[in-house]
Amino acid sequence: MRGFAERHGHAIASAARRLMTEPLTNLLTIFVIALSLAVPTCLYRIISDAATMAKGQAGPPAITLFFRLGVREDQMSKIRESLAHHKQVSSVDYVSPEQGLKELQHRLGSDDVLTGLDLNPLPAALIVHASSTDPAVLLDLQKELSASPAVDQVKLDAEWARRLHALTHLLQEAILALALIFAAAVVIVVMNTVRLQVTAAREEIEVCKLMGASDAFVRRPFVYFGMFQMFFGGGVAIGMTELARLAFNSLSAEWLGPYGLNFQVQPLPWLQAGVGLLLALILGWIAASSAVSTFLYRLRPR
Amino acid sequence: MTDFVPMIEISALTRRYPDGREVLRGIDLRIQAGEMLFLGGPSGAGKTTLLRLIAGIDRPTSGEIKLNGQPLSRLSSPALEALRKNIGMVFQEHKLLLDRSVEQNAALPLQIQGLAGAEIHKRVAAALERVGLGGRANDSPLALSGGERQRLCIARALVGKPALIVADEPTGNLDTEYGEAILTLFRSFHLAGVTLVIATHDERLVQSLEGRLVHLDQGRVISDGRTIS
Repeated sequence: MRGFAERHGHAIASAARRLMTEPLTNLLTIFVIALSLAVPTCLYRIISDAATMAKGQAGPPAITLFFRLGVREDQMSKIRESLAHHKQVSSVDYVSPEQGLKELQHRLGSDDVLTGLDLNPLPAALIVHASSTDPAVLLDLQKELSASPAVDQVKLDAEWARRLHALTHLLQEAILALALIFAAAVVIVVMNTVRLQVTAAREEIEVCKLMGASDAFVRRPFVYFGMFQMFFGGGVAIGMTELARLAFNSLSAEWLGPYGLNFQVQPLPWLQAGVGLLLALILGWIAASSAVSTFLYRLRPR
Repeated sequence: MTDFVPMIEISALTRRYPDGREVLRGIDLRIQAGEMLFLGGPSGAGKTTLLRLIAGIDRPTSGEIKLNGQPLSRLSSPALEALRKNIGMVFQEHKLLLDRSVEQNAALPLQIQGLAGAEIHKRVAAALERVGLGGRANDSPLALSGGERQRLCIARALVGKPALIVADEPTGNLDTEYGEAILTLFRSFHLAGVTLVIATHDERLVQSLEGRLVHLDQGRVISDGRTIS
């Protein structure tokens, strides 16, 4: 255990020395890594929060359920009760035929149109507010509601939800693709930096290999070097994301405030920041390991 | 008569470089454990190449080298690494790390072996003392003379207490005083049972130590006998 700790201690000290050898070059590399990680993170945060805000502004999508004429009160209550406990439903409002008639008259702007009728032709209805905006979930809920024999018609007003969902989905996919491109760029940057370090230490590596050093022994300080760069790059990226968020929120309040809109991007949750840093470390490990392994392969006697 | 398994057994060994030069041509040698063997011969005779092949640094074009009965060509990378840890190497061109101190250079084989810091410090101090560099532990190799660098290289080779020492012109850059000290050091290794394979032009070295002398010329063994000490 002590030997293990000493081996890693030596490797960490060696990696730290390498970082300090060319501070300006390494700072620039860390800045490039940070920028590459911060740009997709910021975009993702803005799009996610904008979608959440848009859903909040528009209210939950509603499904209108019309009962058949002649359906008894107790049957309607039973359906209403079961919907109130449905996991895809956030709330249910009952609209009696009388309320429906009043609303229709109000919309038409005249009491005269329907006064000639002996009977109220409107059925009782339920306004079902779904908890999800996912069009697939809404369609499933519509089918489920239509299945009851007491139900005459189910109207789903999901066009806006479908459009919003498609738009946010498209943007999130585009940002994910962008993030993958940036991640690949970061891996290439780290690989190249480590490759330069390995080339500069060629003689040292050759001497170590002549004395029986394992590939792991040679690789270790460079892997720590790559991971350090990614760790610091990730840390700076979190700082950049937070600064960008504060700047964005300030501009948003200034520009959208006069229109009565309050759009504020939320801070990056600690868990997400931690997972992001961990992913950055893994990327650094992969990039540095492959750069050193390629070099070691070329050193093998043939 | 008991037929001992030799420590190093070389059979029909050839080495041809990519440019077509054939440096070794059908070498056959058996070196017993504890033996001191000098490789003599003119420059370009193939001495350094033979040392590199014995240490597993290079691969032969054909033929085989067995170390303690194990063919080197069939050893896996980890087995080859373990083998090299047990070989002390003195290089003609020193191969010192110029950005590290004398002590750090000498400590390198022990770090590779994974020894604890205190043990490394103790063994390095003793090795540097034996080669007369006890007071230079914190100096840079750049501050050392050619002879001192050679001695540091020897200290690095012996610090791991290897069973086999492979040395390429170990006294080439040494003045008489330290040359004698190194000869005494090699003699003490030999007496302790360490196998030594030394490529050298140094007649003084060959004549002052009792051992076996193998002459190479144009990649072939042309004589194999005893030194006259």
